[in-house]
Amino acid sequence: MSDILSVALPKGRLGERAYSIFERAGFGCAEIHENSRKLIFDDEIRGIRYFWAKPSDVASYVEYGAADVGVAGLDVLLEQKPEVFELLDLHLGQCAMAVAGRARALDSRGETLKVATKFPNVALRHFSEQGREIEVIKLHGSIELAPLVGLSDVIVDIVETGKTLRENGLEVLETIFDISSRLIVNKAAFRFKNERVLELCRKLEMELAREEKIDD
Amino acid sequence: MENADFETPSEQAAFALRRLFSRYGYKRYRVNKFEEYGIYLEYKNFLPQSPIITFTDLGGRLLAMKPDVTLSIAKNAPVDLKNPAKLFYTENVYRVPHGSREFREIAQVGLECIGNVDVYSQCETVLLACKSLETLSERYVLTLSHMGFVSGLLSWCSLPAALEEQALRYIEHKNAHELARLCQGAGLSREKCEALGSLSKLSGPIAETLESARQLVRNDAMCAAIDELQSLCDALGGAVLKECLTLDFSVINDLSYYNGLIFQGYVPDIPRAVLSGGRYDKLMEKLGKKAQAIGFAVYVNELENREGAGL
Repeated sequence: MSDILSVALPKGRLGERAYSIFERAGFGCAEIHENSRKLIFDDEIRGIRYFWAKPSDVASYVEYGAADVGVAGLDVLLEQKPEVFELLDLHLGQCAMAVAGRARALDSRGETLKVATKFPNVALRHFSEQGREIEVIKLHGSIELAPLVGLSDVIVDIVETGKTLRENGLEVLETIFDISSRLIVNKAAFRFKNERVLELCRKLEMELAREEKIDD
Repeated sequence: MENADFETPSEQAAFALRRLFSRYGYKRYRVNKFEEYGIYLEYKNFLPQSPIITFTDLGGRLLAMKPDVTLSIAKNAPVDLKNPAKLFYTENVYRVPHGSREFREIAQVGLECIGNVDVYSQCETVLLACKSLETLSERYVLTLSHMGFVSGLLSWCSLPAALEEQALRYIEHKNAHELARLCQGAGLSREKCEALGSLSKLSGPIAETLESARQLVRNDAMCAAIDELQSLCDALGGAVLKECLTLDFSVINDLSYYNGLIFQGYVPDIPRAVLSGGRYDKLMEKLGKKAQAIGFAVYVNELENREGAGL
């Protein structure tokens, strides 16, 4: 195992914001700003490596040790329940996991509720806590479409502003949990790269506290 | 090694471990391939969460392909308090590994010490855990924890039972932020919130970490746990060994079966623990046996996927 610390970041706006916190905390990587087709970015002097992964895959990269640390949303963590350490709440990408649909879509309990979602485990857990039987329809995107075309009664999905929902005559019926991005660490990497992981954590925490102060 | 080309890394490791255990006077114990399914149902929290392969035998009994070895040994091995049974096994178990969707045949090599488990036997078990890891890799980490310490702090905090389970999961994942939210939500005092928070963060080389852990002691159970860890640490003595030993209370096993020392072993290039074990007197009690017990298993199958495999 090399002493390079490898970091899996979620592709997209959220990952870029996460990276900028890493950069301000002293873990920057010059290569990453070069506009290239590279997939992996190394900074040998700082001993750090970054790569971008599909957001829902980050937890797998970390659990199986392909990355030592990663940034993953609580939505992904509660859906996949990976065996990793969750060391920090980065307070990024704040939104909520919610049940949404047409008004009163949850009221009738006569039939099995059809739920369209990218998060079948979250949906099953939520409704089984209510003692309610559901049929899960697993989708991969544009979840809001499902109740509009009669594929499902409700959806379980991430809601940021709720604007898309409102424009389509849907609303949030129940909030399941609040979401933000978390710093996750592979369990073996925590043992063998302990000092580096703890240093990363400490500096990220300091950077987050500093930003919070500026915001106030 | 002459036969190295014909043996997979996990087979080589299994042989090396068997030699090690028999050198220390442990006797091979063979376990039946099948057990009555009922026993796994009754003790299901002792086992890793996984479906079990079952079938009906010719007499109509529901049998299972064993998902675990320790339970069979604990149930069947004769108890002699004067001479503790020192047993080792090399067996295949059948379960669905975490994150997988298929049953797998998993090779396990391990040992159990059943009877009167004194300081010496406990020390020997930890030493053999270290030596087992040594046969897999020059570099390794054995992480110790103590269920008495964790359950002692939890009972001092007197969380509602439903939240206690959740708190344990957060400690297991070193998730201090959610743990703090849970404690505040339950209306715990600031002192209690902070104590639980510190517990989830405690980890490091054994000698220093024991000092910090002492500051968290709030009752006799925790004090006894720390003293036990301290005397273990003193007895293991050797500086080389100590470098590989860490203390980390995120190592957690089921509270209703494990009571004392527990531990996990890691080697580089394998992303999960390759060794796991601990003191399970409470399982013996539930089985109606007047004996103490400690043991561990090495998940030799993990070696198959190792980068640059080979010993």
